[in-house]
Amino acid sequence: MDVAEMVTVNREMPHPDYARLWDSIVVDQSVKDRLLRSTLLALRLRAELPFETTALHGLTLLYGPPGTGKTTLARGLAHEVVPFTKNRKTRLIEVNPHGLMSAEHGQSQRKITELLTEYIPTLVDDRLPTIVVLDEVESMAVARSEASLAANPADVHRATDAVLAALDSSATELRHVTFVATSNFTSALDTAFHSRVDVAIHMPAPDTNAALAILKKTLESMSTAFPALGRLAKSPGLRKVAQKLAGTDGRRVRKTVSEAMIGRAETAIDPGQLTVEDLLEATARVSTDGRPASPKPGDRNAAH
Amino acid sequence: MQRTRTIAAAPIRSAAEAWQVVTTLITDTLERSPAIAAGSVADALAPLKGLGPALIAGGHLQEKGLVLVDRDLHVAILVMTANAALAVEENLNPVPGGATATEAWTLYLPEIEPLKASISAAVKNSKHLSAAPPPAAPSANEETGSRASSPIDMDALRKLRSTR
Repeated sequence: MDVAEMVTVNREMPHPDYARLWDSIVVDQSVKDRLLRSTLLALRLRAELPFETTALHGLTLLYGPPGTGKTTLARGLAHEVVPFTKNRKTRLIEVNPHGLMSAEHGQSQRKITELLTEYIPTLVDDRLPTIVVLDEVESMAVARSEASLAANPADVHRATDAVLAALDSSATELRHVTFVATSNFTSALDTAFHSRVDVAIHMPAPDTNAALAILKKTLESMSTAFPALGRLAKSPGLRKVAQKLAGTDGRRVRKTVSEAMIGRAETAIDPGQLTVEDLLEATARVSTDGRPASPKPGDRNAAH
Repeated sequence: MQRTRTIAAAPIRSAAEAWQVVTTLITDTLERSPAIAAGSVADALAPLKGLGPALIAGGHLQEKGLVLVDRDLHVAILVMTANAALAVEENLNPVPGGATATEAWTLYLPEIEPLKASISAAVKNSKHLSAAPPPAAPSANEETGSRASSPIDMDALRKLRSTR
């Protein structure tokens, strides 16, 4: 696989396809604020001051359970930064790290180095402020201390070394570039990678309020096709559904609505007939799917 | 940043073909810049049309190589022959830094004793070719492009919503 194929997205922002991503993620506003502020501050400080002063690598880590919106938020960030830039333009680059890991001896290191120190620098040569999303970064910055003998640890070491060297190089040479890495398994990440992270932001699973906001948003969005769902979105009974879904990942909360629609033939034919009871029953099915809804006492991550 | 591009000549490709790869790499790199007119790089390299393949065929670009230098560019271009050519992993993508290239770009040629007169004749009267030793690559903090002004609009930043 050529390194160019590992860049799955290379787009200038603003772009209509990316305009709603940021708002679509329901999470405590402080999470979004931290991400946006840290990106803007890093872009500014890294341009104006030497690395020796800022010690900023331009690397943000979004971590948390699957389905909480880490990748979507990272993608939306590139669009969100646009109004704060002088040219009102940014670039989003997305990398598929899985394609970088090769079973061939030494190839992972070579590909990572070529991608991060040659190919991406060429893409960002026009000096537009750029967000590079490294999704599921644990696949390329593997904790060297945890490397298994069965998985060719020498290559794991080399690949991780290549990531670290490339991040060091970018810190001084690509000051208009910010890497946003996402991970579900921070313990699998190398400690030297952690030390290069400027800001680590936790993306929690939705609590009751967040689950309620996601449900409402999903139903309101669907009401453009099925207007009756707009009324359901305002139903006080929805909170009961949200309570059952608290602690479930955001993606699953959204899918509960379509899960409820297939619960009865009537709702499959006309989703506008959906009721709170349908949704409650769907939450039970979600639970028996092996993805239990487990509210976390004291969860403070309410949606706004 | 100092970069190196290594190209394979014989037995992978002839000296003339390898020179074509070199000129394409230089052209693709520089003509990404809006400051460089299309076709101008090929024109500037035209005096090397016979000399370039001669340098490659003699193995003179294996160690010293050509050095392309501009504001954000410092790339050594090596061309390997014989056994060394078989081990080359080529990267023929445009070199980073080319998109901001200026009209002041210069290609430095190595000083090779048997071809000294030909090299001097080729660079004579050229704005972009030189037989002088190339300048040292700037360190990360000296690089002009990397220490640009902030891309952030401070007026817009002041309107950033305050939450807590």
